[in-house]
Amino acid sequence: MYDILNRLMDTPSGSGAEEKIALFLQKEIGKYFDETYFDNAKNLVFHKKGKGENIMFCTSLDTDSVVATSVEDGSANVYITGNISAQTCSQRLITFEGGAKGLLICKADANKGASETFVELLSNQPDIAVGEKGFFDADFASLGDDIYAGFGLCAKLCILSMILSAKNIANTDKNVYFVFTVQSKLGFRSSMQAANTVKPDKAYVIGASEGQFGKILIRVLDKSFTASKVLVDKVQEVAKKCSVEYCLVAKPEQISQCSKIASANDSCLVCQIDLPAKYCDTVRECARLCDAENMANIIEQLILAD
Amino acid sequence: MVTKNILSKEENALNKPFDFELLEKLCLAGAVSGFEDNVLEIIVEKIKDFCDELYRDKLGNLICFKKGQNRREKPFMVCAHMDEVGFCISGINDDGTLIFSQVGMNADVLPSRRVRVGKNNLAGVISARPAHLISDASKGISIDDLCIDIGCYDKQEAANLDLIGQQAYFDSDFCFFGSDFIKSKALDDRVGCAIMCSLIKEDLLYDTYFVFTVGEELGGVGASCATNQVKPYACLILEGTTASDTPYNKGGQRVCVVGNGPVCPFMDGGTLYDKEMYTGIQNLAKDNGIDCQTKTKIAGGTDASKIQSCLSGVKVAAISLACRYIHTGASVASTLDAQKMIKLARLTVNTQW
Repeated sequence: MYDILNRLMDTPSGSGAEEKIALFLQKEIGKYFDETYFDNAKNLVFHKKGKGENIMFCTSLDTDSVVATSVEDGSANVYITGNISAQTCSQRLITFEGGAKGLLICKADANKGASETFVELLSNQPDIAVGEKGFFDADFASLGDDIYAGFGLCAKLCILSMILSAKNIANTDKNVYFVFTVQSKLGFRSSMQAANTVKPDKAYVIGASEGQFGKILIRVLDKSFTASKVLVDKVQEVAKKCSVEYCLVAKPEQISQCSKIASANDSCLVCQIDLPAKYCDTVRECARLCDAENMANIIEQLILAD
Repeated sequence: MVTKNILSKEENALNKPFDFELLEKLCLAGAVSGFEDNVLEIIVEKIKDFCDELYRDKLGNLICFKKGQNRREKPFMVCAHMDEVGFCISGINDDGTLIFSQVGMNADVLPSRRVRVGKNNLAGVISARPAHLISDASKGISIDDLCIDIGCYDKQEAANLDLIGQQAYFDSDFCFFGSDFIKSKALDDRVGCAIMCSLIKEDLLYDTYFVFTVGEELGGVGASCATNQVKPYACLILEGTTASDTPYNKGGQRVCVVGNGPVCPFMDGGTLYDKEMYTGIQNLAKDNGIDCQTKTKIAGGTDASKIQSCLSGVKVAAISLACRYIHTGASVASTLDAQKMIKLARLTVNTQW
């Protein structure tokens, strides 16, 4: 399990540059499904054909990243995709797709109320093209007691949960879709398309948010969404069966994929289950590996119990 | 991607001139979001004999299907929006001046501008509270400090004109100036409409849908509705975009530069454009000697943000005309850029995506 997480952390997946991690997943779990394809939005879809309703499990592929908007005199002006604060990631190492490396610098201009964000390139670096994506150094480390820290850890642990559960549902006869969405850090821009592709009857979004380690979070509402009570009850039932501690949470200040999925052409029941994490949307997110394992058990049981 | 050079069939096809006469006509028509009929009528008159199918949907989008020499493997849509920024009259003050809401622009650019109001295009001037009477002038002008003076003495006189709920738009001329510049209101996005009209009249290699959308300046409501009808695999958006190449901005802050050719963005405030189409269009430009630039700041947005979210996703790309002072009554662009833009759009439309 640690080995997979380590490899996931080593695979950059900035918004709009999810190809490498998609390839990783195809190799890792493609064999457990009947078909694998990309929809028009480039979401990666795994489908296990079977009986009954369409059940979709969905998580994001991408992490925060930067995009070069102009290049001048040894530095590249960049735009940060995602919720990460420019100030908190100032002076972090960035590696661009073409191999160029540099330090992210954020200079706040108090008078103008604006900030200037650019990457100061190290000496003798390859050229950078405008539009080229840059990735943060993962800086993945164990903090002991099964707790890990690193850049983009929350997204990678959600993916890991889906990987682990995929391996255990090979023999189910249910009609199941595992969908890995792109561009979530740009406002969940591809989630609705994913739902239009799959047309799920039930959709479970696997996410991460601030919470106490050891307790899976069942999100009952956020800024633009209220979870399906039927699915919330189902998740609670399954969590109890798996002996996984959980709590119901409201995140009225956050947005999620749920509202986008619920707004798709064909309506469906939607619910989000979150891994507990600390320091979300910072350069050093913290979470526990065993919580991802618990999440995988819940996913597996939700499929089998349906 | 299959690119065929249409020059191989017809030597001058690629270099057909831009129809500035049509652009002028389109720019001078008043069509604030929700009031697109004036522009729509000009477009219909221009293209009706060249479409294989032409209809207006319930929201007001004008949808044209044009057969090409070949069927496309996957449906392709080109789109430009008919609406412009402007105003909607919402009330009348006791002195006969009009209260209004602005559609898609900043109040700072409005004082003393001439406008045309309502169905009969009545003359008006945007009146502003004098600066010394504004409590905190450093915060800039608020819409509450503005009204439209239409030369009425009192509320009743203005009420008799039945203007509430009507549009008002900038009263602006269209002129050529300098070596190769144009100045007009609504270059965003009458330039896209003019290019689509010209392309519809040409022989195309592939079947193509052309959609003239409504409501882009209100967030793109027309575009998503049209996309759900046409169900395209890929879409090209023709637009006008912000050029901030003024003396106050340097380097990447300029976003794009008037005179440096059409703008093909990799990303803007609402969309991360399809990588394959972005690269493909840049290559088409390079291979055909067309100057092409990209945006150097992530700002603004187009109908693409709505279009890409429809169906199971739609591949999107944009080609835009760099316009200074966009969303004002006097945008400035280069005629040479417009000429290069239609050439690049022509190549893109005649490509199998």
